Amino acid sequence: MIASMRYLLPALLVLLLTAGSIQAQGSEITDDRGKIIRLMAPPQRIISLYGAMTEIVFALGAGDRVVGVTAHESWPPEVRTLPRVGTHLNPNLEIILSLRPDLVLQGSVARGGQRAVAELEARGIPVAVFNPQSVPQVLETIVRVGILVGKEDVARRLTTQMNQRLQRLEATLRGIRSRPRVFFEVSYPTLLAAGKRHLVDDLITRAGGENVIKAPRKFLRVDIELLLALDPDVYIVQRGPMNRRPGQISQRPYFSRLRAIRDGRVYIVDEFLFSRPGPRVIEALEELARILHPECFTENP
Amino acid sequence: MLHREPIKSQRPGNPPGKSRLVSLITGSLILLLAAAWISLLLGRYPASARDILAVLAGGQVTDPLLSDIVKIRLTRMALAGMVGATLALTGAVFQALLRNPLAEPFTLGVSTGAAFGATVSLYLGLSATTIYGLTLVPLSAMAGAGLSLALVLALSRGESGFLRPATLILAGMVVSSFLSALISLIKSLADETLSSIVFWLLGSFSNRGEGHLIFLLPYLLPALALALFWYRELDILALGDLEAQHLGVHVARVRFWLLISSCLAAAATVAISGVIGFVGLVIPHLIRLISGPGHRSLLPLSLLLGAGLMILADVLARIILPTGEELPVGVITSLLGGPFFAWLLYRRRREIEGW
Repeated sequence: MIASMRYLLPALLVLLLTAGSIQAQGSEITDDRGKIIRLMAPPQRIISLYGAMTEIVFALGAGDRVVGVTAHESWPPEVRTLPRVGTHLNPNLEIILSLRPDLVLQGSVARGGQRAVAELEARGIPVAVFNPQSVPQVLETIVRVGILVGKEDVARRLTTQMNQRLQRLEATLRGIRSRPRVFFEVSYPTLLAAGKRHLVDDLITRAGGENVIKAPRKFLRVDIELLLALDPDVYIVQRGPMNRRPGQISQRPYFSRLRAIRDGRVYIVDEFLFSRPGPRVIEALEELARILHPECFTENP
Repeated sequence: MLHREPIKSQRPGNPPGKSRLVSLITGSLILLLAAAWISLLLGRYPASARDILAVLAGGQVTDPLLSDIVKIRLTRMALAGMVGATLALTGAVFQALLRNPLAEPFTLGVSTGAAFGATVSLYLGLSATTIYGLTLVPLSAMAGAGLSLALVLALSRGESGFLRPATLILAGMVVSSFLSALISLIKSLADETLSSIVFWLLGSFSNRGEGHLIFLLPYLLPALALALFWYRELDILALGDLEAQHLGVHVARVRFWLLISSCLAAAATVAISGVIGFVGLVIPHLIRLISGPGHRSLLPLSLLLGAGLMILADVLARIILPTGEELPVGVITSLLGGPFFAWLLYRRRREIEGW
């Protein structure tokens, strides 16, 4: 009886330890659909269906494990040679399956991409969906992706650095006396503005400004009359796939009546930097802060 | 040619007498003016009726922006009015020409052609180049419409050169569905520009300038002039091609020129405001219920009421949502017109069984 106990305890301990080590090798997170994603081992074949997710995986040093990205991705430069698996909204199921992924990452999907997600999950491929709409959510997404790909330590270091830059920026902006009212142009001539649900809204607030668009939408179609009524202090234009050639902004009809144009406060920014909830979001935030509060950056350009 | 004697309609509902027609037109004019005034009065920028009247009268106002606001609203209202008038008028013409109650300005596929042209230019990012406030989008839309019209005509041209309604509609459907497929193809390739294509296709008068008005005129005026010039011929065509021919109507010529001018006018509306359905189909039927099928009353009343209703729909599209966003005006026309027309149809179904 006593003898058997002597063997049982170590045996139990060994059992517990191995169970613990299985737990340590595997990983578990909850994605933004509220779904629990559990991996038994770090994924070796990752497919990213959303540019920001690709950037995160590469920033975490797991880029060599990415085996497929969507059609128009170009950052970081290494992705240009990777196999293409369709687009963010319309991923190609067959190509994805043929690449035998053990993890698929997807950004927020409305309608189109959801079916592909369901199809992949039905075939036992884990899919994690993230939908960060603010800087803290981006940081938190980076940590969760880090846990998933077995790079939690790198993710923690990266987000700590990003947090430090965030705090430094907050300190720099502490003395601001006014919050310029900002309009963020998503596209033209179909004039679309970034609304409350757009990541840019959080960037504007954190950079010491105020988005003039209060609608709880990602994009808002805006008429020139509304723009004149809002009369923003600063007019920001994103240039990228959604807004290929914004043209000469002051030449557009009635734009010369806008305060921002008269004051010369029109800025063109990079869509890839501003509309992507990835690791470079801090760069976008710093650039925006310089635009909105140049007075805070005079000593330290 | 046609002997210019009054033709008694053989359909239910005799054409209204002169005094009835005058009072109907007066009523429609009053409605149009009321719509125009409402359209000037309402918008996102705070402006009182007194201020707007002052700007219109050329007087002084404290807010220097107000004159721009009035100009923006005037342009937008004129554009909505012209598009509504064009769609309703050409709808009446198409229903007569194709002898089909379901015909509308877009039956022959020119709207899909215009939408295709616009989609291509939005996809290629040609929308920044502007010519007198016009981007390349309407120009390429017109090119697309011209192309599809040429295709439809080539397909439906018989040996005799006669354009038969059934063949025309069939050719229109073929061209239209092919071009729809091409639009879908571009949409699926254009992940990032998708939203501007979708927004454009839904139809709107937002952010349009005087350039768009000037763009529309050379297409609208010939369509209007030809339709009014041939209003008796349109009446007679309802009897059938052979009968019309016997009565002295040069069917082939009338149909060809009315078709071309109406198609181009309808295409021009698509080119500047996107696809706005329903108005062209329903307004003429609505007026037939009020004044009978005679084109002497149908055409001018379609013009006026089409304009008035489109202006009102646009007012709703731009002010109805409290969050500042605009609704596609085509959605409003269909939401307003659908149930109303269904009710009218139900109430007066016996009188329209003539179709």
